[in-house]
Amino acid sequence: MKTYNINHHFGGIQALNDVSIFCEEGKITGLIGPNGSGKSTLVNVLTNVLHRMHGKVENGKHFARTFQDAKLWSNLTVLESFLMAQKSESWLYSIFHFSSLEEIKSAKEIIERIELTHHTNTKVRNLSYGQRKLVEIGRALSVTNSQILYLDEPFAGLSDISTPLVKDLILEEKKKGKVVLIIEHDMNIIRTLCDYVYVLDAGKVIAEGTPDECLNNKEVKEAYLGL
Amino acid sequence: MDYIIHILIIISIFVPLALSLDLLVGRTGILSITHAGMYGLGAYTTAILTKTYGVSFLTSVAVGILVTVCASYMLSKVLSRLKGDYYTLGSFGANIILFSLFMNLTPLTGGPMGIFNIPQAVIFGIPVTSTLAFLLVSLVFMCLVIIFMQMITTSRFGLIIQAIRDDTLATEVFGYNVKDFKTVAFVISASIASIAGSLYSTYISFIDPSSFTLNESIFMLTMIIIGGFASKRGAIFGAVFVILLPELLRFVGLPDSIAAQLRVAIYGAILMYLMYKKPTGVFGNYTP
Repeated sequence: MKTYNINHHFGGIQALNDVSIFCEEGKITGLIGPNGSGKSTLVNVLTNVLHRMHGKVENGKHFARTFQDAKLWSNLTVLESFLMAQKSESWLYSIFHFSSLEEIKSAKEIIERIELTHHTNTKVRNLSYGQRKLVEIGRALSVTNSQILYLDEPFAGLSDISTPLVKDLILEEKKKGKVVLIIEHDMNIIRTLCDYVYVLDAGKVIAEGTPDECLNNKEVKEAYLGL
Repeated sequence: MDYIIHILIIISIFVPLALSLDLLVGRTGILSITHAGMYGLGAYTTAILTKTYGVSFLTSVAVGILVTVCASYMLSKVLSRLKGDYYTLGSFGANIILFSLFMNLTPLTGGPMGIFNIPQAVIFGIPVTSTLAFLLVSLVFMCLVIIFMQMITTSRFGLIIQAIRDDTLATEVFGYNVKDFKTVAFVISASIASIAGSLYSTYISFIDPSSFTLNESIFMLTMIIIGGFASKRGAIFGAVFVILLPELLRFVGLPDSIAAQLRVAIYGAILMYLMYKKPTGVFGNYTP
């Protein structure tokens, strides 16, 4: 996944300024930066939530993502949410499409992986905040043909028990050869998970490299870590 | 006996209307107040074709569906540019436009005088002359709509429209063409209303614009609010309840003028009670 000189602005505020990044298959790329630096805006542009104003994106057709604030189908059950996410389809096909045993089995496998088996038929609205975060991650993993996974702060609000679980899930996606782009504020997670990191500040890439290279960069320390 | 059969026929016409409106409002989350207009399109198409042009009942129903599909498709495309309350106001305007057409296209619709002596239905060569026979026809229609609704709401389509209602952006991000699904839900809902309108016109044998006003649309909306959104049981209960309520009031012994006002007051009281105590309606699965 490559982007070339992406620009986006909200009114007079330049949210992204000539952002060019490259994410390799089978690697986890981290995107870090202070609040308001343009990280979520970049993911929103890459997933067509926002229209890019300038620049070029070489992006796979099939991707999955999570949102900074979980955007879930609150009146569907966990199982229904995962079934919905598996594969998009046209309205005509969907009218005659009833979930097959294979599709249900595949969805239940992911529910088991996120350890929500006893909530399979619970409506999402009735889950706790942490459980909803897990559902959102599981939903993104349910997309059968996704080549790219965008994760916007997937660890925010997760318990100490769920954090290693989600780490393992992300590493499994990496092993499958997917492109994984993750936005995260926890530097320990960035160090342990990411192969490569981009640092954004005020809509510009101010540093890139391995996690250690970036975190030791003087400009990053000043802009982001306040050191 | 005829009175009971009449009530059952009206119920079997209004249950599909409530179910189809629930597909749009309860399941898809589109608050439309134009259902009576779509119901009117079917009713007028059948009335005009069977009376003026001698077309068979079933053909007139098919043409009614076609007319309604075209009208609802175009209307949905226009309304899709609006969001939230503005969508509802747009649909409100659409019902008024349709009502005005029924009222003012006098050479075609009879204007305020309406169309009377609409021929009785003949289905597969069998004339539906008695009310009992018509009840059978309308019950078959109602059962078919219930089965269709069961099928469509348990299919992937049913899940997708509910997902659109819950979070449109998330549904789009997962690759679904939200506008298409909303349009199809609107067209399906309108088509069922059109068939109900065709049955209504041939049963009553007289129609005028007063049966397809904004108040009628709100009346249908009341059914699903009382019954509860996104629930087939709710839509059926709501339709039966709202149809039976004024009939039950007849036996209280109040003068007609008071009964009519009381009916409105009771509707209002029930709606207020539900909003306060049970905002999901009696069987509802979803609160807007």
